[in-house]
Amino acid sequence: MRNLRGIIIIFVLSVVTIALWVQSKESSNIILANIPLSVSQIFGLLGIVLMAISLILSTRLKIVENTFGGMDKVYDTHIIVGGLSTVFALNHPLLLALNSLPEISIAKNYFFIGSNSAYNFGIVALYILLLQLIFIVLIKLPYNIWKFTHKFTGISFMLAGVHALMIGSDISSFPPLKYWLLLFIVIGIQAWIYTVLFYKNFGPRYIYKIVKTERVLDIINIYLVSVTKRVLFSPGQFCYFSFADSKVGNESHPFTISSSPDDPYLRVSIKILGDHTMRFRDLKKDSLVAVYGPYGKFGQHLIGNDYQKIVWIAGGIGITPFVSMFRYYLNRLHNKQIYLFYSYSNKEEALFLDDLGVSNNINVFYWNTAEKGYLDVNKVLHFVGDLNNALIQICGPINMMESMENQFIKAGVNERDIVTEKFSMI
Amino acid sequence: MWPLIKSAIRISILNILFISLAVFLVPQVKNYIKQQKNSVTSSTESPKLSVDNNVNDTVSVETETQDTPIDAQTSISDETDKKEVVADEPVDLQNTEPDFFAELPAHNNKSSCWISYNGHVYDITTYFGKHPGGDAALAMYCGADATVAFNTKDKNPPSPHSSSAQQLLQKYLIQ
Repeated sequence: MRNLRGIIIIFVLSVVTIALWVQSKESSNIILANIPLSVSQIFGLLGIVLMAISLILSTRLKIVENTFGGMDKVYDTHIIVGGLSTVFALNHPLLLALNSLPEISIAKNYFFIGSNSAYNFGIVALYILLLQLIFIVLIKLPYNIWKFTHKFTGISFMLAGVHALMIGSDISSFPPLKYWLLLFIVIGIQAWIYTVLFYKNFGPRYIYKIVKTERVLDIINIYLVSVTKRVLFSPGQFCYFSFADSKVGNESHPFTISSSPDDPYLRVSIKILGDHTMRFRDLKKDSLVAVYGPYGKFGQHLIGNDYQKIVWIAGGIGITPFVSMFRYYLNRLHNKQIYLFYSYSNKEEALFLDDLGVSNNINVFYWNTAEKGYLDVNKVLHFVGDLNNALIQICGPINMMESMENQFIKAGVNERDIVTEKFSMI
Repeated sequence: MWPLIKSAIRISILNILFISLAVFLVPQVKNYIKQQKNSVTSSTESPKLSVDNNVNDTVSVETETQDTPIDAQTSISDETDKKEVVADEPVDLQNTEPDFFAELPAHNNKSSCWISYNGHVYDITTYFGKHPGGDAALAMYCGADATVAFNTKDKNPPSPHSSSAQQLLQKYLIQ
């Protein structure tokens, strides 16, 4: 299910920015007379507007998630919009420099600190951006260090904002463009300050404590109970968890909740992928955990719609939201037929077999790909019959989700009726 | 889409590094070549002087900005030299050298913009799009005297232009 609302809003905001810039020019001749300059100015403006949007997307606000139809989609968009804004920001001085050649003394003004303070703000912003980019696109850092460096984007954005407002060109001479840009700069800075400084203590935070940790095959289950208020989640949602533990580190990680809202405890199931995830095994009983959330729209599509059949397709650790949904809908939704296809690559990967017990309305199909080969749409059709009036929900590795989604679309399922969720995100 | 953006970012970073390096190095290399030429000519005259020139070389590479004022000044003096030569022949002056001051008011727009400053005329048409203070500030003075504006940036208190801006202006001198 693609939600284009957010993308359309971003597109419209960009177009309005360009339109205001065109309005700021006396005639189209001026725009066409010096095309590198015109493109550079548009790049500068779009760089700021898109960076502000990117900062807004990282606030994890409910209104943002609702607009984009899920936090995974928000972060996908955050990466694209942030990346685009970076490309624009980098090419803004580049085009100006090229435009000024062969006059090297002018070209120099765009890259080196000089006597013009408005330029200097932009140049420092560029330096900070470049420093950070080294860690995003050139060198791969450990997650927690990378996350720290990523926070400096806001400083770069602030300086770029000051640069844009100080520069004595179209922005300051055309009030509508000036105030339009000021709006983005102010909101962008607010969003950044909220994300970096206030989210940790004033975001949607719930304090839990660990009551039990257990290792089952390849995963670690952590059971939590609330200290104060319980987080009210619907099955299939996830939260960000920040553990008060020196070994694990206190940066927050997103984990899907694998317990039902009915359960007295909150359970997360972490797949052991490396040394870092291994440390979760050593979390101490009674140590505190800050839970931020809930987020995610994955589980909410089957409610309130007239679907007769619901097909759940899980790949590997992608089973976790379905475990929560299974436990919750076990004794509910009797008017619907639910089919859960659980695909895993070998016996040792088959998890939660205790949780996925017998149910009247939910049929569980274990799909060991080592024995039965990859799950595909024909195999699903074999068990489900037809896919009229059916909702398809897929969670698993990205390649699997894309492949299955395409297969279902080819089999005549409307794109609207297919829901996917990525679980690898920031 | 992210891989595409990622490579665009990489290319942009490389371009920025390349251009800023080029912009930084080209004037230095030019200066170095100039110094080399000078030292070659002077070394033929007296070997003692060439030692001094080498010292100048190292200094000038380090403080490259200090060199440019000399260049600008020489170009100015070149101009004044030419004028003096012309002034020696008063008959030619009236026939061949056009009076740019008389023409100044005609060049009052962006497509052909002349200004006067401190008794000289400058054609700043090609400077549009490069002015840190915006084109509007330039356009106001097309075809007029911009001495006060240049010296104060039309601000109260006055905010004079930097010495590098002064040098830059000299490149647009026509009279």
